[in-house]
Amino acid sequence: MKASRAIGWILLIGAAALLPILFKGAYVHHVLVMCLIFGFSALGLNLIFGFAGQAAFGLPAFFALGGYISALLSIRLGLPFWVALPSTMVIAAMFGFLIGYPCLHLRGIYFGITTMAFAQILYYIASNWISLTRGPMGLVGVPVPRIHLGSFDYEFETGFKYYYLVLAAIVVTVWLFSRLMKTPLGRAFVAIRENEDLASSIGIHPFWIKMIAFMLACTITAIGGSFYAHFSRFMSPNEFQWYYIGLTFIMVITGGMGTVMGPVIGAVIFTVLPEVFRAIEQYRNILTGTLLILVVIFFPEGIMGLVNRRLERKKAVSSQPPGRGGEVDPV
Amino acid sequence: MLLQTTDLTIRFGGLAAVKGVNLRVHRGEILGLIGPNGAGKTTLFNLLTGFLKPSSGTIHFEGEEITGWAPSKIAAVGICRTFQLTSVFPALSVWENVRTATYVWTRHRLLGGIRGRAAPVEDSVVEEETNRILAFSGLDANRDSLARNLSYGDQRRLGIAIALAARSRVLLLDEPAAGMNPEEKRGLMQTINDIRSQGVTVVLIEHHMKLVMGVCHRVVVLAQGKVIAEGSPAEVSRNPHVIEAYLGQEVEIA
Repeated sequence: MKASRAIGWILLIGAAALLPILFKGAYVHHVLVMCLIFGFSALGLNLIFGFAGQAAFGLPAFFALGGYISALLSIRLGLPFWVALPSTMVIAAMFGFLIGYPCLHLRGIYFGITTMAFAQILYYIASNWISLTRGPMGLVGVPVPRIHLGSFDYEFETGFKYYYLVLAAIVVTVWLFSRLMKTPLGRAFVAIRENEDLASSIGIHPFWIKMIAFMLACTITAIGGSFYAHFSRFMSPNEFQWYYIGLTFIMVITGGMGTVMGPVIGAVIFTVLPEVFRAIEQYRNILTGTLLILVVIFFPEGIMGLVNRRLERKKAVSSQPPGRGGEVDPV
Repeated sequence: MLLQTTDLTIRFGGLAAVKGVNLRVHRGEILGLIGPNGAGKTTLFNLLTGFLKPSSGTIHFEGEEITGWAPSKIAAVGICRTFQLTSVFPALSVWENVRTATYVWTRHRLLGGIRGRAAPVEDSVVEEETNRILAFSGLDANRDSLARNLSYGDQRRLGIAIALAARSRVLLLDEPAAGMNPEEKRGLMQTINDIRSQGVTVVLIEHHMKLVMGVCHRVVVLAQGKVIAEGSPAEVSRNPHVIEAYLGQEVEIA
């Protein structure tokens, strides 16, 4: 069981690594990179929404926030990408704490709406603090990641190269993420989603555990933003808009809430689809919306939820191995 | 004295749901908490476990004052409860339900090494304990079922298993027999006795008198937020105040 899972992972990563070689062209590579970048947004939202059960409507704004932080750090302070990215993660976590502290005192939908209010505030700051962000004109000339060691000089300036950089990052993130979900902390997230009162009656402090989940989610989302800024080399307040918030939710719900891989798959689908439908621009949103409705009706647990259920059924038929049963693997 | 309340009172607006309750729970006993609907039994549980903060009065556990503590902190010192409605994690398997409930004594695994706290707990130890509790609760056969698919009686048993996995020292059971058939009720009485013989003190809210009389060492009767009687099951069932509280006072009509 364990070996087959490892083989599955290797095959998946191998297939992902082959994609830009099989499908050539700068435009295709650009779309592939965007799939992975949005994958981070979806992973972050899935942590707080899918696992910890908190509908943080404002969370996708941390994508734009992460992009701005990273862009500002490299443009204004001249920090290289390799310093800007981890700094962005730390700063995003701090923002997560500041926004999470008031919001997490509220439960359910009230929490969600309050985070969205903060997302709007961030949008207005980005649009109006002209001296820092250049407002709607946006930040231009965000530097490309570059490895410069003595005579060795390598730039991730093409979509092809950038793809492998982001792929490596997302593989590590997903791996850490799936490990985290098997620790007591990861189980505490799920416990709060399932029954918050019961969780506190077995010693889980809902406020602080939700805070950890929210800060982690902010950090993961901001990683995507940072990669985005250094890839598109441009940040504007546009990325704070509702369209991206809605899209991220659609990715997570379609892919499968509370599964590790689902959101990444959702991100791929909903990054590629708008591109495919680009020719029929005016009908694009109608088609995306229809797809979402169909998913919710026919497989409410999302694509990975459906796959997992199929696997479970197969496992049940081919007599189950003894020992540690009952552990539904959230792959 | 394991758990003690002094003059415990909570008011909701003008209504005192619990007033001046002095409850004493002795180590190793099974204490029944009975009374008509609306007597304040569940409110008293909510106060003991920190879900409600008392308007006045104190709660002591092993001599330490725990009044006003957060529920998770109270759970961490060993006071756990079940809930009347859902006392399980519905979308998780039975095995995961119990495994999740080991949180309080396994959580230092991640940071234990760094902060020099309690030694990390081995995975195998946690799994063994999970399996032991499942076997003890008679839920072994259902270990892979989702909690929400269990029968009502099994969900109650899982609720108790969860509280045990959290290493409770005082277990507060809120109507554990509700929705159980006679056979399941007999099994529950056995389970409660077994829990006690493991050294866990049990406080029990229950309407099913046969169960209360059969299993409890001592019974406390609550009516309109006050303790109106206390004693052995036999004493309490003969007490005129108790009969009056349950059946109502005879009113003379002129």
